[in-house]
Amino acid sequence: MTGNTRFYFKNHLVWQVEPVSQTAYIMSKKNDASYLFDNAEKDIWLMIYSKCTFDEMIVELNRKYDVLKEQLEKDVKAFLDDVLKEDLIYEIF
Amino acid sequence: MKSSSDLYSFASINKTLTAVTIELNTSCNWRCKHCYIDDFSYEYELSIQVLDKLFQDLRAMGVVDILLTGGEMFMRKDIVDILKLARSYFFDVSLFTNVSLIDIEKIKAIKELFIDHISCTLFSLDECIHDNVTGVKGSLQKVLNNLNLLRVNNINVEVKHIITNLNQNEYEKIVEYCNLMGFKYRLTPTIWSKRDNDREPLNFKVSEDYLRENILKIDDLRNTTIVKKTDDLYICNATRYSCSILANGDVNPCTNLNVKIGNILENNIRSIRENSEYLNWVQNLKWSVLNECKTCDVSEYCMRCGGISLIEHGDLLTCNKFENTVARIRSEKECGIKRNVKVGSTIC
Repeated sequence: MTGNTRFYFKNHLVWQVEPVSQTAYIMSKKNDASYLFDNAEKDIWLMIYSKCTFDEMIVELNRKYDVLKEQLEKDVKAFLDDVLKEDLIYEIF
Repeated sequence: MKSSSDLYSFASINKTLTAVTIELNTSCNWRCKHCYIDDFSYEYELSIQVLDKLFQDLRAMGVVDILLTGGEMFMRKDIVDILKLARSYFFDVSLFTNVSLIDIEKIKAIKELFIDHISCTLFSLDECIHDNVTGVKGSLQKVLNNLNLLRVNNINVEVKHIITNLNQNEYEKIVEYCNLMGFKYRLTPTIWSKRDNDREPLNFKVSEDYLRENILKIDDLRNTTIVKKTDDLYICNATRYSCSILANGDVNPCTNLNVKIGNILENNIRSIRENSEYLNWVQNLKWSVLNECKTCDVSEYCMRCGGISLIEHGDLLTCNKFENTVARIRSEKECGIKRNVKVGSTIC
């Protein structure tokens, strides 16, 4: 994963943002599993949808959340690694 | 929202459109005797451009589930493109088709697109009975061949069995077939008039005597759950989170509620739902307004649908005679249905 890496949703997903709670609801049709993402996780999910690079995500999240950049990079990478591992997204360098 | 199972209760509370049925076309290669489509000579269909705009709007409104239906959708040459388009918006897509026109190429596409399930109708495993209902000789054989292909390709299938007086003794054989094939089985004895109010399909309803003999078995197979009636129960809950869009663009509040609240060729779906006084009225109807039901001695056994009352009797709020009959039979039999009564906020 580099700063220019972009991420894309796998084609077996069903997902939506619940309009009132603003929770992102994700269902994997391949693994028959579902996930709920709130707050920063949901923001990252929507930035994946917007085809942001890793660096663009960090800039955007840094504006919104009062967290040190190094910590932010670490947390975002950890989340992306998790969803990659769950086979919800793939990356293109 | 704390878990994915909260999605529909959230949608009902907040009146969030979550599930939409879209009729892609009205043309069909079958002529089922009980069908509600009134005139097959009008071959309406929603163009792929209209569908693209509709999908964009539905995506923005929070819709998750899309049920595509017809007519028979596989009569459309662009059906695979439509499925691809719907899935590109990450909807959970299900298909209601008679499956007679699918082939291995289409099944491959359905599998690759992660379509949730295919729902089809099977009237009998006896060719004479099934083909008599559909009006098409050889239709059963085509369905069975294609259901086998779907099973081999691990596609989820739900077999709907509409019980009419033409096929009323067939359910045990179909249940056995579904168990063998690993298909979900659903049945219903409910049929209704055509969209133009022609009551001809009602001639095929099963008799009261038949219901008396079979309702316990039918309830058991349907896993019938009857909601405890309370004054604050929404009587048309489905209209709070779903709607139905017809092939001519008309929007109905629910699949069973044949009242036009707008047309997507003239206005966008968000605006139609937000500005419809009728929809707002029906969404907020509660059990307390059903005067006949409140004093009915079998209401605790009843699964009335306002949409069907409107079609059958011209009044959404009146007693649905067919469901009342079924409820009375359940009540007379003091059947085990009471075990399944649950307290809920909705009827449908």
